[in-house]
Amino acid sequence: MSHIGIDAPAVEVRALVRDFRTRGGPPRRALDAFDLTVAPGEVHGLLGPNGAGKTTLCKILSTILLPTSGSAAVHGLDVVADAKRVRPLLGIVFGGERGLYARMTAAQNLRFWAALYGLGRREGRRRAAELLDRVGLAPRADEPVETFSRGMKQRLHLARGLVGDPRVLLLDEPTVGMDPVSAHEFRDLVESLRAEGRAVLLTTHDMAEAEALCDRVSFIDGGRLLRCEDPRVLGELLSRHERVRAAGVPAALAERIAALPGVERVRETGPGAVLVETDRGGAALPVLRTLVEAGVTDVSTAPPTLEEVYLHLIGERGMAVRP
Amino acid sequence: MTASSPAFWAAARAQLTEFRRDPGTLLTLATAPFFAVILLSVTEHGGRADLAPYALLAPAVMASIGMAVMEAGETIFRDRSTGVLEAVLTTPAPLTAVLTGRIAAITAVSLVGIAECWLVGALGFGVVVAVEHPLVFALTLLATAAGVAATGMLLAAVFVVGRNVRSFQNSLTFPLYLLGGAMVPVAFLPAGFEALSRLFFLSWATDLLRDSLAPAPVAHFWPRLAAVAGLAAGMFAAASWIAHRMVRRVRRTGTVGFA
Repeated sequence: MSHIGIDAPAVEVRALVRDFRTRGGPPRRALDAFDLTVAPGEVHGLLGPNGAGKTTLCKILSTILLPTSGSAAVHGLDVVADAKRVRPLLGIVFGGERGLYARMTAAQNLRFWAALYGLGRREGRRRAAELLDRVGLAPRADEPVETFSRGMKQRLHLARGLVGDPRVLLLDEPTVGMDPVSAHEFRDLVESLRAEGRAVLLTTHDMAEAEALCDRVSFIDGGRLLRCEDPRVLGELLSRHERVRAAGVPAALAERIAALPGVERVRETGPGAVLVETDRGGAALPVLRTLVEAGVTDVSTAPPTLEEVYLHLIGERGMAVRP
Repeated sequence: MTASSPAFWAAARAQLTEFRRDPGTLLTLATAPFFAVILLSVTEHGGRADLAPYALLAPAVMASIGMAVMEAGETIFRDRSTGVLEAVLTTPAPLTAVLTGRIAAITAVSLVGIAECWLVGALGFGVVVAVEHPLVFALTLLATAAGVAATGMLLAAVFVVGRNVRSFQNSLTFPLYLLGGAMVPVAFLPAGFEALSRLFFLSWATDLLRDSLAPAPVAHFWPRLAAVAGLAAGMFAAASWIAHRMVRRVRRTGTVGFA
């Protein structure tokens, strides 16, 4: 039997493979020789398009899915052989609205989940109250979950993930459905989890969120690890590929902008409307200047979407789901 | 502290809360008094007051086994479709502890059917059926409740494999009433049926319950009670084994969250 390694990586995944059977076809490979290491106390972002293998990885780590081959360990404990000892170390927050008893109140739900982590009634009550307060749901503690908005349910999911006082927290798209204020509060919560020395594996589509929160980010696609980067690389990608949208742009002006240094492409998105994509930091500034000097004032800038960054990282397949 | 004991009680409380929030789940109990009225009307009209205990016991037992099929049988299936099963399996608590807690609560509530039927007899027909052998009745009822809970647990584990649960539920209740001797003592059934029914704890239990209401001494009580308890324990063991296999299977196939 393995022993819990305090100094062992919080998460260590080696050559992990997971195949799913398909009807009448070859197995679909969701994870392909995947490697990952998350240090204790690290906030690690996992970025990838739909079907990339992020949720499959979270499910294997949380012991509800068996790998086809390879290994995954939490604080040195194998998630298959030592699943019973892994579970108390983990908290998992799956995205979406499922996984709660809708007719029970938020407090009743949390007390239920606390009991499943071995907490007695009194301790469970105390823990539920503390967590509801922490995620900002204390005023709604005694209301049925079915009356909650999607964002509130998501916050309750976060509280549920923390109820067992886990050393490792798996957050599978935890801010889906949250309003901007709640998403900001969520970031504060993750910061506090880091300060408490917990490791967090965060899957997300939101690169700005990953950049703000993570110590490292891994890009995953087709079940394979593409790159593991410092989040500052994300920052560079975000600034390097800044986009400018403008309306009321004559064709001749669009041609002039396309010729500016650092402009990668000018796409027509409607009559007189263009989207200018840049490929180096600071390239958006001359574009803006040119537009304004030409009398175009309906202008906005935005960072690239995850899809656009992926176009650069993984090629033209972009966000299309793999067959 | 292991998670089993708190999980059992928390699951039982969760189930009672579900009952309070969704009274529709208690519909089976609402039908028991109507069955009692029908059966007691027949026995009274036929001048067979001696059959009154049969007429009151039948709907009470049917309510209990009906709740096992309709409510207990759906527990895993429902948790799977709402994503709760997925979350439960990530916790340290054994699934059997959660399942047993919920089904124990369902079974305890289902016993309200006995009081309902007795009240129908007393208030509607002026028929008060006395429990002539209270100890026999109490011990048999306890063993019966354990058996009903084991039945619910077995069905909960089996129903996960199938997707058309409602059809199974609707088709299963009457064979169980028949084999369990709920409406007709199994001794009255054709020989083949009786032999088969003796493998089901309920056939022993209903005979004992009826005997506990009659003034005559109860013959071979302890061996018969052992048959009820033994068959219930066997069913519980089978249910635990199937539930364990089911969890292994859905973890392997990646279908924990499917319904």
